[in-house]
Amino acid sequence: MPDQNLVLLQGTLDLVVLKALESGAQHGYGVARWVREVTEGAIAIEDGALYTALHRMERRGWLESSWGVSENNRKAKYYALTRAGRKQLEREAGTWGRYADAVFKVLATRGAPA
Amino acid sequence: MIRRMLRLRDVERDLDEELRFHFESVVEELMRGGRSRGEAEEEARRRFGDEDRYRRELTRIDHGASVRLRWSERWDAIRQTARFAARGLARSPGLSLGIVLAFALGIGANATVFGIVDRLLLSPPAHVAEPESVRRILIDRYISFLERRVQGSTIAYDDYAELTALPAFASVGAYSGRRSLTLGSGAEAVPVNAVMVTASFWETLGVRPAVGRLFEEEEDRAGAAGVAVLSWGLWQRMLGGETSALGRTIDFGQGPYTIVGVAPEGFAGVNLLNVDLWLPAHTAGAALQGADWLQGRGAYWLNAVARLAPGATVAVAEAQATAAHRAGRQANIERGFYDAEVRVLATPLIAARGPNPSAESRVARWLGGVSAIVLLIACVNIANLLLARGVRQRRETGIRLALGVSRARLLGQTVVEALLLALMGAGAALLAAQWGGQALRNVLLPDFAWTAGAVGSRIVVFCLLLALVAGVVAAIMPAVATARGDAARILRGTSGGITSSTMRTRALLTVAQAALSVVLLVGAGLFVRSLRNVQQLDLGFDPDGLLIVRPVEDSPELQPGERLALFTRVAERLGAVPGVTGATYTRGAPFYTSYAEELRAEGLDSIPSHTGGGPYVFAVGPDYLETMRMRIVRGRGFDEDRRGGGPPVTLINEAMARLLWPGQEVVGKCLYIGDDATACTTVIGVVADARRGSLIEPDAHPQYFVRLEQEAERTRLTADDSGDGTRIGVYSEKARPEMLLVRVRDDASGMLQRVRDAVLASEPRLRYVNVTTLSEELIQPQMRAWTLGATMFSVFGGLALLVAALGLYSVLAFDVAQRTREIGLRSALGADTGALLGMVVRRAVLMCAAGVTLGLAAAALLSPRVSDLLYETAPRDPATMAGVAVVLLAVAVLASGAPAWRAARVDPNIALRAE
Repeated sequence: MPDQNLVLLQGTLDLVVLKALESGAQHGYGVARWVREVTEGAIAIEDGALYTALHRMERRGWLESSWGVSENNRKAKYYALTRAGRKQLEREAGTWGRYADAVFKVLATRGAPA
Repeated sequence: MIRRMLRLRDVERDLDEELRFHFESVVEELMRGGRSRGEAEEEARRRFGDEDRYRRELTRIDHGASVRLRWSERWDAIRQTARFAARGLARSPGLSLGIVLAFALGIGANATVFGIVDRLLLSPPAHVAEPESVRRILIDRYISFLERRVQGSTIAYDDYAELTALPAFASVGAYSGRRSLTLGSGAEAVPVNAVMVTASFWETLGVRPAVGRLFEEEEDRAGAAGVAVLSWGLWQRMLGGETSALGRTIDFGQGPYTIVGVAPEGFAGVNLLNVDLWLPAHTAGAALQGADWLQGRGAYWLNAVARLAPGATVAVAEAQATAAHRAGRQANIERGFYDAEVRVLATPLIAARGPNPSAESRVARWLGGVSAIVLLIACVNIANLLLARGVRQRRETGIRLALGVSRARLLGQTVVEALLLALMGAGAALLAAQWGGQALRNVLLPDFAWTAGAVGSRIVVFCLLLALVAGVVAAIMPAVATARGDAARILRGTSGGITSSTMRTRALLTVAQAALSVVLLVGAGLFVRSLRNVQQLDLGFDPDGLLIVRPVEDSPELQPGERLALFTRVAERLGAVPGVTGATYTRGAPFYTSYAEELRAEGLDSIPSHTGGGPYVFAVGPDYLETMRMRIVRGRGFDEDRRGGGPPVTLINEAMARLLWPGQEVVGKCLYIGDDATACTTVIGVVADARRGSLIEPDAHPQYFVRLEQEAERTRLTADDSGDGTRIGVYSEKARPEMLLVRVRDDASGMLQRVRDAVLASEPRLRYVNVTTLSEELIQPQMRAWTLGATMFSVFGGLALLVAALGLYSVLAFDVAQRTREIGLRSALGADTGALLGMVVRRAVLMCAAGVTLGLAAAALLSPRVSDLLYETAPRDPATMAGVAVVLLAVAVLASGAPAWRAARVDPNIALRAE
């Protein structure tokens, strides 16, 4: 079911991007670098997908963008969380945490009774 | 457009800039890490992924296309849901067909009735400009002999004239009642309904002619040359819709009238009855009614409509009109002849919204309600069927829920399914309304001026709206039931949860259907009983097999004496026609005309008053009582006075005998008829009471019958005595025979042509002979409200019963199918066929009994509100209610037959092995 995979991937991707912006506004390149550093390259996300997520979430009102000047003095587009975006982050993070806990618990048990 | 293109360009430039920054930053970072520019650029592209695809995607998200995207996404979702729904429906075609039929029935009933309700209650008369500022003028006054206030529309010419002077009205028009005239002569003669109107009538309504022009102010003056406006229908019928008809003349016995124009199609003035011909009140009115009707306050022959002046309110207009009316009637008010508290009302143009709507419009209102109930029953039934479907598909539902399909989506799908079915039903309903509506009109309201076909755009819109509403209403409960389903429990296969609560809901819905059907059937019963009571009324004469014959003379009209001779000859001639058993000429007839005359009675100072007014006199031919089959209870008839000439005699009815001489022998008493009469008119007999003005007169009106020849003699004498030449015309009118009444042996309507031919053959000087049946002309119009009510309630009640029976059947059949295992077990344990049959039938009867109880309670609450539409039938008539209960229980037993039989035949071996 490609449809469901896509939904799952998208949800996770959104969560990652939102988290990347939690500590402050950032441009797309910054988000990409942050993700790569934090996950140590474990999750392979194409940069193009990150940008798609950024633009899509801006449309949905979770992010807002503005043009700024980057560290090396170049014109760059910065994204920041809106109030709705911050709420979405909390919600997604909570769901994800409970889900992960549950999976961990499953994995921590010794194995199914005979 | 240009701005949008600029914005598009902006979006792409922004994206370019954003991505350029990205690639440059990544390349720089990688180069800082020690790679060559070439390697770095390749790595950056690799990390980014398919750049072209992402660019397209990003562009699409960005440039406002996102809005379009969302719509198209939504559209895709709807299409997908609809496809899915259609597939689901196709999987159970029987059930789907049942639902479509139920929708078609519910919506069709409403569409059919809507045409009538719309015309009677909702739409203003056709072709009236700005109808909301046009008001009907009514006079609200106390009428002493009726002992109550009456809102009447008829006014005299001077009443109309004084309204035209009021500042609150921009314009006032007057119109007469319909009058039947004959155009042409002999075989080509055409009977038409004519209405006389003032020229201001057209201006007040703002009507525009279809062809030619309407008549002008100077053509509507006494002495002006005659002009006429044809209705669209008559123009088509008689003149083939030719424009050359303008300028031609028509003749209805008063000289030539020039056709100047044609009214727009479907225009019937402000009332609903057909009109063929429009004539100026001042010329044709004077010719047909007498010039004296054009002035004074004695002749109530006009009705008025007024257009409010800009800024004038109804209250102001009514105040001005009331003041003017009271001033105009001052003399009579002072003498106590006219109500001092009289008020002039300016009421809405849609008569049904005015103070005294016609019985038809009140019945139409009920029809609207009744058809709404039918729709409700259909919705309940559909909800029931959809629930059954939902249960059957609960496995699939469970799987989809488990797969994470959202409940909203499932809910939406049930609604979309119902809407699809409702739309199909609406299509079928429109087909049904096409012929059903036409049939209904022809049967129930034949003489109405319908402006459009049975199915117009308003009905189509109405049907679609109904389909939407009905679809959603019918889907709510099944949708909730579906979405409430618990995936785990459904999949585990415990049929608990959804099924038992659904079964309960379905049983409740079945009870509701039965209850609603009961309400309709009780309505049907009440109206049918009323209609039967009216039909079986003893009118005091026998209306069946009576023809009304009206010879139309060539102009100029005959003198009353000559006319009497003509009618006498025709009556004799008709008596010899095969199939005719009696014929008489007469001036008065029940439901037609009768009048009161100055009267004194032997031994009394004055005539006691009677609530019905009167006493009323009928001037009749010698065979009148016999032809009418009126019963003589004392004394003798007119037999010995065939030729008149003898001493004046009269027969009185029982009511009059009771009023004048209670407890005394009345035969031989004297009546003195007319102003200052001294001659004794001897009472020679007493006639059984008969109706006079309407089918449902509470008490018989006092009436007496005199010989037309003697009446002519008496009034001629009176005129001679007075020596006042001008009064001859007026008085001798009373000796003018109006019609012939002919009794035929059997098929009255089959005799029309033969009677017409016989008269025309024997009297070549006649222009035309108008022959109708008395029942059709005078009785059926009075029964219309009951006929309408009885027919519609019966038809809808029957349909509702059918739907309810189907609903009951489907619930039971489903029930039996679900409980196959249990039934098999019982049968294995030794339950006999009878017990199994009984189990199913008992359930049916129980549900039905609950429905009957609820329905009867509802009917008992509602029915007093129709009591004024019923006749001699108690609104809570126990026989009707009991009958309906029996019918419903019988239907329940019938509906349970097949499922019960199936239950009884369950083979325990197969049933227990299943699942």
